[in-house]
Amino acid sequence: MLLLPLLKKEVHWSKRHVVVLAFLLVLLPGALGIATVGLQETVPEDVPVALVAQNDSVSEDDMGQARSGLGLYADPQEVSDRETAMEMLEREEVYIVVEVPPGVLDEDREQVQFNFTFHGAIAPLHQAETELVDLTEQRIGDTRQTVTGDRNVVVTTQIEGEKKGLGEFLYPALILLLLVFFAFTYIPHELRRDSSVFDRLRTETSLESIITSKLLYLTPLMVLPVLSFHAVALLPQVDYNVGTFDPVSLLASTALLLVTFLALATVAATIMVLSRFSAAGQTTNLLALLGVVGVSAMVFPRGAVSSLRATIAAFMPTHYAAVAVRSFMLKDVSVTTYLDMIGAVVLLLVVGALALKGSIVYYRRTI
Amino acid sequence: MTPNDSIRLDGVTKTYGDVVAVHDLSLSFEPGTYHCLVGPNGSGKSTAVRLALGLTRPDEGTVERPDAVLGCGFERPNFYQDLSVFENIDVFADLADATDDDWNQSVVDELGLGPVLDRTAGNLSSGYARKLDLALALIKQPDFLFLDEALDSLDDVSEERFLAFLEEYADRGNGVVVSTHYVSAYEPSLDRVTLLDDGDVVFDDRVADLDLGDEGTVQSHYVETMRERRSE
Repeated sequence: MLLLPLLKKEVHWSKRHVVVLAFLLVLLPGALGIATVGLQETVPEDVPVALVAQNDSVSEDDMGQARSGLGLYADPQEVSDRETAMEMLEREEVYIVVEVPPGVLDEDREQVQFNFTFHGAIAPLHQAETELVDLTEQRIGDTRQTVTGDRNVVVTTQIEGEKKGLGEFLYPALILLLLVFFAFTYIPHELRRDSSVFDRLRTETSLESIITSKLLYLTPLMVLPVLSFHAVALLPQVDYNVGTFDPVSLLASTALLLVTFLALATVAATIMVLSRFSAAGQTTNLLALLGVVGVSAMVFPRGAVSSLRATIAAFMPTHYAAVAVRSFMLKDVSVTTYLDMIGAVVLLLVVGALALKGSIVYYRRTI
Repeated sequence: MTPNDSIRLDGVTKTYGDVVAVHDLSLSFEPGTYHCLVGPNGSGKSTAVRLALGLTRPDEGTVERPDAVLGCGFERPNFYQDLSVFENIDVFADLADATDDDWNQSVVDELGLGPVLDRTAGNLSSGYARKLDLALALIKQPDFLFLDEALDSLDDVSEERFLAFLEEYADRGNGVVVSTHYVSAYEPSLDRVTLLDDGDVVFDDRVADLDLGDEGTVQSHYVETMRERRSE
């Protein structure tokens, strides 16, 4: 019976790959378990919403009633004027602008009329318009009936910008997800494969040059999948308007996608250098991929994920990359509106490049 | 190149975890010298070569390298597996600014790589893989050529031809350093031999100055010396 010696071989193999196994069998399932925390709510629960008074006669009590009425599904924040609120809507800092009327609990008023403004690009929210309106009318109506004996609350809605379908809304996020996937899988694969020739390369040039050349070659290559997505969007069966023929939109979104890819690629390369281009490095990158995708709220609006994930997403440059790319592709917006978000991605690139340089210095000192 | 252009390892120590690869090693590799690092497995030969090439940093001591072109044939052939033989030569010739096409062609001819130029390097037999690795070391006409167990996998005829090439290359004023545990093949051409054991230099002499005694050959002298050290 040759089973025992073969099983013994597997034990030897496991001892030699204990780090990889620990990642795959312990940390990875653990990370996935933690990630489910972010999936605990399937219905929007904390949608960021801007509250704006319709005029000067709106009282603090009116705003309080609105906050209470929206509290079931929203995280309302008062904003001083509609213009500011609309800019926040454009930047996805809020997903609904709620204009609050005066005299919400005033029995002399026959009807109080709220106005909700959704952005047409944010399909998951404007498609839930009816439910959100009904919820609000019912909740505030209940309060008003208790106080005045008369419900009579109306919510009118309007859509800012061109109305997009769910497919169009998801499109920019899917392109970004693809590039994030490439950054954390293809770059490590390439570096690990080429590491077998690093000794010879290092007699000719530096590790910095080797990795930089790889990143500089692969980053522009990522234009191809981006353009493929745009080509598919033009198919009659698809027919998405994702800014393909708008030079500013196309240029801004593609450039930001490439910078995001490059930033994440420097992170992935740093992990590979620190792991000495090992299989453990590739596994760590896989874990990083899952982590980044899991906490960046790249696909659905922050209001559609748990408050924990939304809080973490607020610290993730990848979240801002998703918002800005989506905005460039789906909204008629100015690039300058998103300069701080672009800055967050550039900052990640700078930090990633410094970390990569540091990891290479460490590698050289310890090899 | 003059003797002042030597590569010098001075009091170099290198450890990997608990293993001392070389200990307080002082050694020089000189232009025009055919130098053999000999020693058993784990004696520190490969580490000494890596230190000389700058692929490894010493924990202690210094390594001085002149402004010279260094080439290396690695124990494990080192090239892009996914590229063809020709593409590998092309890439590394560009990297090393090796623009002398006549020389590059002569290296290809000398090593008999012509028939496999279009073959994917990863699919080469071990013999051709060795030859490609040697070709990549030679195309830049290095002032110092380091070869780590370079004859492994070469057939007898290729070995004989390559050894003659190496002798001539050293005679042209280039430093040739071979690292091996089997010195016989190189012996007729060697100028200098350094025996390493457990990271220390046992002897470092010109072949002409070695007292080969009754054994008569460097190989047998090395084996006998090691035998005596092990029995102590």
